[in-house]
Amino acid sequence: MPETVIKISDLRKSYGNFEAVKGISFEIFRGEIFSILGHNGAGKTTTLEIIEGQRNRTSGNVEILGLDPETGRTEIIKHLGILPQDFNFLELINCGEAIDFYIKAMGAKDTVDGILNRVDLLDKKRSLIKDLSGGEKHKLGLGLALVNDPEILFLDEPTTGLDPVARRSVWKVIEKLRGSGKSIVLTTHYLEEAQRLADRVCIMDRGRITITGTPDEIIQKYGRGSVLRLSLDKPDMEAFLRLEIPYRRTGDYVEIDVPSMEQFFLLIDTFKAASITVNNLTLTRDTLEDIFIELMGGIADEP
Amino acid sequence: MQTNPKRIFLYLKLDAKSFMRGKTGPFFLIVFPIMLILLFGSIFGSSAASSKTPLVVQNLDPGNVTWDIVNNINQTGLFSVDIIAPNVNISTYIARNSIDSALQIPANFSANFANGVISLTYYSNPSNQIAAALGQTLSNEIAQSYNSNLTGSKNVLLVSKPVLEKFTKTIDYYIPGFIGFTILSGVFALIYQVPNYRQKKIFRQLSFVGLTKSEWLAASVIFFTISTFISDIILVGIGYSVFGANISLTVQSVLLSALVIFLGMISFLAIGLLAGLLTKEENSASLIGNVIFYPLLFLSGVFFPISDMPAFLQVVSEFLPLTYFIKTLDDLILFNNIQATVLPIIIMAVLAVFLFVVASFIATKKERI
Ligand SMILES: Nc1ncnc2c1ncn2[C@@H]1O[C@H](COP(=O)(O)OP(=O)(O)O)[C@@H](O)[C@H]1O
Ligand SMILES: [Mg+2]
Repeated sequence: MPETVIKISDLRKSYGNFEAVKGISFEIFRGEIFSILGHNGAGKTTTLEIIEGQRNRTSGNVEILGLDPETGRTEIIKHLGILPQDFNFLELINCGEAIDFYIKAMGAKDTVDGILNRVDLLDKKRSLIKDLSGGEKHKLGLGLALVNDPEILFLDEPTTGLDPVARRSVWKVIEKLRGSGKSIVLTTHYLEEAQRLADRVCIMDRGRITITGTPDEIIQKYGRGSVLRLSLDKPDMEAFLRLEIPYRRTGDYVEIDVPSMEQFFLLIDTFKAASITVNNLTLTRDTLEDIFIELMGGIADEP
Repeated sequence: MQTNPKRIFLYLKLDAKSFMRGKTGPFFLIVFPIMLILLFGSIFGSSAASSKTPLVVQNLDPGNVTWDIVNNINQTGLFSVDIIAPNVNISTYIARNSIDSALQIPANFSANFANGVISLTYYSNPSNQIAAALGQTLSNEIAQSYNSNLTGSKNVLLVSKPVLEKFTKTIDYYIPGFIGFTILSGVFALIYQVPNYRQKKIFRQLSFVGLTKSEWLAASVIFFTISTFISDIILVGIGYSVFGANISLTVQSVLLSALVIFLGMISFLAIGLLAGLLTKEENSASLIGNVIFYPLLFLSGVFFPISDMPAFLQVVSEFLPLTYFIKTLDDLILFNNIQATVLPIIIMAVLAVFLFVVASFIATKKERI
């Protein structure tokens, strides 16, 4: 059994009359990358801040490293690394100075260059924070979060607002942390990011967690399986129609649902037997994104 | 959480670097005081240049004997005498020409003289200690010169009248005002930083390394104390060495002035901190800062003497705290009148402690990081 580092049950948080988090439960294990996936306003930041001890909850239980974040904040914070959403620091300080401040103030063992190296920012050591690009700023925030060699790292939308190149460079830094033994809690509204980085994902929508699992499990469970897409010349099309296989037409293409691989090979054999020649054949699998859009779209009408 | 001097020092270093790299910081810290003192210093120069005090004399008595008195004054060698006609209004003349001391020979002078009394009226600027003191010297000198003459001994009756305090054309008088300016600048020490840090969540970012709000405030106070003293040392240093400002720099006056500067800076820093805490955005904080800064700057005697202002503004100035900081500095470094500063300093200390305690309580306890 993997060791649980964060355990949340029936967590609720209200801002005035508005309930931003509506009774969520999940566990996070040591060493895993856990992603909370959701649109803006889903309640991701609120949840993270409650776990970190930055914000008080309305009800429910939260345990992090065996302590309650509300009462044990000063102890817990020493073991956490936090990259807040919209990270900022003193604008007229350079990267090296910011990291040096963190190292000295926390009495950490790391060196400035060591940290800069881990977040690929060595060349920006003397750049003022106000002059950093979005991606560089996020990487600096990540570097600062790593200074105390934390057991748990919280990354709140580390790539939001970045261009694709900058996003990839942040991903590279996060991927380097995989297997370091640190648990990483990552929020994002990019499916691709969760699918690529996370060991497990939960999908959060308007204060509720709808699905939790590994990306593969979710795709398997909620996806429509795979889709075979092909085009047919006119005579082949007539032969195909005689086979009475259920299909959809999208433009010039024919789409056939294939729930399993056996089904796929069976189809191919059937085509062969009927002497049907297929063109432009592709087999695509649902992505987390398809499921996300489908589920979110489906829920959107709920009051 | 325990207050940690190491963290205070580390943050102080960051803060100082940010300040020096900012657009306005170094300007207000070093360039502006130098500009002020150089500008005003080269316009007005120093009082130390002339050792003879100008003395305006007006003779209202046409009698023969009266002109002897003017000769006597000339003989003392203390004054350069400037005689004005009897039909001139002496008070207006003094005010217009920034005169610190004037002697009027009354119309009944000859009659009194016959009765063995020398009656004179002496006008002096109360803020010019030399002028005020010279009144007594003058009467002594006159009495002495008559008593050693053959005309027989006379009693000297000297009526002293204060004249309107007027712009005295020397750099000395600007120094306390300029120091007042540096004290007043404490308003801006934290007024922008608080809403800015709150909006950008920098307080929270700092809290990740364990830096508390109290430590942040301690570092800020240390920083602005040092920077205010640097500005003031530059001001006084240039005024003294370049323009030969005639100021009293005794151990006592310097230490007490430093205390007044510190108390003033803390009071205004606390006012700015409160404004920053009570506003949501940098823009509204900026507005409040300017609403506090400019009226105080122009109504507390930083650039213009209070006595030059219309009567109702003079009343307003009596309610402005900066007026008293500047007046106390006048007493300390211009007039060396230390006794007069004891009560004001006690009041200032009470004010500073009160404002700072309230502001720091709100900053550290009421507001979450
Ligand atoms: N301090 C606050 N006061 C009132 N409402 C808030 C506050 N913080 C967040 N909210 C609301 O709570 C909801 C969840 O916000 P948040 O946790 O920031 O979502 P996310 O991080 O997923 O975008 C949003 O509707 C937001 O407007
Ligand atoms: Mg958020």
